[in-house]
Amino acid sequence: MDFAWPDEIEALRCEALEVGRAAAASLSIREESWVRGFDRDFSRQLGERGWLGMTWPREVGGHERTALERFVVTEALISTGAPLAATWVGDRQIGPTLLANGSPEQIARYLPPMAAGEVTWSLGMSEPDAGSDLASLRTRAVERDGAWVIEGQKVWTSFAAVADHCYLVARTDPDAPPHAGMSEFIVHMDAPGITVAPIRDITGESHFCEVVFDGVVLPRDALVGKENGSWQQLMRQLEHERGGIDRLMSNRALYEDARATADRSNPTAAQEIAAIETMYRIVRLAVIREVIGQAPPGFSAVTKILGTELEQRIAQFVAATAGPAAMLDGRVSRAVVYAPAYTIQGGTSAILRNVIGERLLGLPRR
Amino acid sequence: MDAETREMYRKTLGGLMRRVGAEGAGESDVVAELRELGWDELTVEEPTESVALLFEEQGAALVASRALDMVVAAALGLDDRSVGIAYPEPGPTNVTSAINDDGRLTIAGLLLGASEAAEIAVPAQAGTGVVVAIVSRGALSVVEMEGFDDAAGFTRVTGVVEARHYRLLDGAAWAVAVAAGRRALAHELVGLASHMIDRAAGYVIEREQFGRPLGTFQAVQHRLADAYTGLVAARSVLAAIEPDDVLFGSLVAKAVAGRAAIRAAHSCTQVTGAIGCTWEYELHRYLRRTHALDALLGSWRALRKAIGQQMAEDGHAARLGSAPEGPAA
Ligand SMILES: Cc1cc2nc3c(=O)[nH]c(=O)nc-3n(C[C@H](O)[C@H](O)[C@H](O)COP(=O)(O)OP(=O)(O)OC[C@H]3O[C@@H](n4cnc5c(N)ncnc54)[C@H](O)[C@@H]3O)c2cc1C
Repeated sequence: MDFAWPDEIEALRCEALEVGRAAAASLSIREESWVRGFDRDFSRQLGERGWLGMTWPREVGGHERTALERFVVTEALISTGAPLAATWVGDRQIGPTLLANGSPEQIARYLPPMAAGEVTWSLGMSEPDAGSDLASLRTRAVERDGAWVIEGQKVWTSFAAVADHCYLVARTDPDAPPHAGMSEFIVHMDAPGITVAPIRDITGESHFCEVVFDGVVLPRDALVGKENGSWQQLMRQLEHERGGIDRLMSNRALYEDARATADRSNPTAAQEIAAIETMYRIVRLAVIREVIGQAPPGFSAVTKILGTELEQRIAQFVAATAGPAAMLDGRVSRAVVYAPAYTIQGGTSAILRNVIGERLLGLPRR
Repeated sequence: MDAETREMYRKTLGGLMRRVGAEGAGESDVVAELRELGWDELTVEEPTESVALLFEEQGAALVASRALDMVVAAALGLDDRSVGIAYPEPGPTNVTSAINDDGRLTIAGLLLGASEAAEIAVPAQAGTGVVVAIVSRGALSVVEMEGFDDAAGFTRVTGVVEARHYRLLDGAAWAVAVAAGRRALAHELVGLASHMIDRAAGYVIEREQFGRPLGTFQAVQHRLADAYTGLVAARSVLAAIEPDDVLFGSLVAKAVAGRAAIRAAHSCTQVTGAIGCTWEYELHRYLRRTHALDALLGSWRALRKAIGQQMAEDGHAARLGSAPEGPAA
């Protein structure tokens, strides 16, 4: 087996590293760049370079590159801390979701600006009473006079305060079993009746929000895919959300800085570096397997657990390397305090273990 | 102390701490109030339990006070218990201030509370030993810092003091003071962990997903059970400190408590989901305080190394390793 990239992919990877380093050069914090690095100018530059919608068809603004090419570019950008947050949700999952489930009109309308880096999407899934149990969500979409009327509340909606669009999951059939009564909608955030309130996160920053929908009217064609068919659509979308390299690389930049200063003559530090590097390579291969479509359904649960638990281990390593002096260091303490979120956002590790048990191992459901 | 008396003190101290915690920083002088309650007599009668009760309650209520200064000052034999302590800056060395060859004292340390103390005791390296110098607060300047826990009230200070402007404390044993400080901090970490576990347990009983309380899921139960196991271990080590082995016992106790509290903080955050990742929810303030107190007077990682070294050097290993009689493995 040859693990080296072909020359042209390696060249692309190096180019992306260079672009990423330049974009992150002025940033003091380069962690979570796909969550907190919000930069519309850089997004447009990515669009001009053809690094958004890389695998999508040309006629919708895509570039028809391979999944591996997209992989090396996004890996390099996230690892350097380049600010990807403004485009990440669209590029990672909404584009692919619309390609799979959207109407030709929706694809033609929404994908080109995504690929150009001009729009920001948010994900309206979680609600106050529907976190892990997403299928219990209660936000209603009611058909009235040829339109959809939305009533309800979402929470933890990352980027909602700055997003142009929200990808909303709402209940369309309250009488059906929970999984069979949900549908997906495209919401323009400037529609009347939407109130967004940012929530301060554990680090003091606020990228996630509470979003209230009070009689928001959506056109009929805001529905994506099948009415009441959201659950099947979501299973695929969540694989994009969970199975990517972002779940491994969030604090890579900090790790590399810490590794450079770690005392390698200390056997504990050396062993920890070895363990992290080994695990890093294993998870990366698992992600690549996912990326090139060779993983079974549900496999993203494996990659997300492995990746995010490694990110948490890295946060501990960084804290240990900085030593107690980390108490005096804003960047390190921020990274340690944020780390619990890795195994919560995008589905908790406990829920993903349930997925592995039920879907990959075929264990009986509770 | 009998159980009834202990409960009485716990109630009194807990009430004081909760009140101060609710008031917010700087409103009350915890140390002065403790004095009024008869703290000095209590520490003479019940030196171990008084510290255990006070610091567990302080941790549970997330109060930042100068109670640690009081404990360390007493251990240094200072009559004036209001003297502040310049704790060594967290880092690889045990002491971060030093007396140079020319007699000048170079100070780098952390103070608790901004500046109420008129005099500061500074542990300083002098040749191969550690001495304790007393300087006036005015000799120190504040250095900006950004770190885990602003609310802990640490102030980072530096200064250079000429020999004629400080005096050395006779017969002060910094090692003994460190041990007393470590015990107090270990109790405070236990108090923090205990509160976090209670808080998270309360949350998972209340919140439902999939039509049942989160606390009915084994994955959630196990996280909290592990956190609780760590807490019990830390309490046991504190209770088992031998009077003739206080230095080593205190070191072990702080290592075990620091590790247990940090693990508890992360597990408790995990089981509270996204709520636990918000600024508003109080857990992160406990998580921050846990990391901050772990860093003071030796983090659990640093202490673990020290434990190993000490066990190897002075035969502690043999003692701890003496298993009950039984067939050889
Ligand atoms: C930083 C961040 C960003 C986010 N961004 C978004 C976003 O953009 N859009 C969006 O829709 N959502 C977002 N979320 C929400 C995220 O998807 C939820 O937090 C997550 O699904 C968990 O839901 P919850 O927080 O309600 O926790 P809960 O579901 O209340 O879970 C609490 C605890 O109980 C455990 N638990 C629950 N059910 C079970 C079970 N059956 N078996 C075992 N254990 C169980 C969980 O593992 C967890 O430890 C974000 C969250 C975070 C932290």
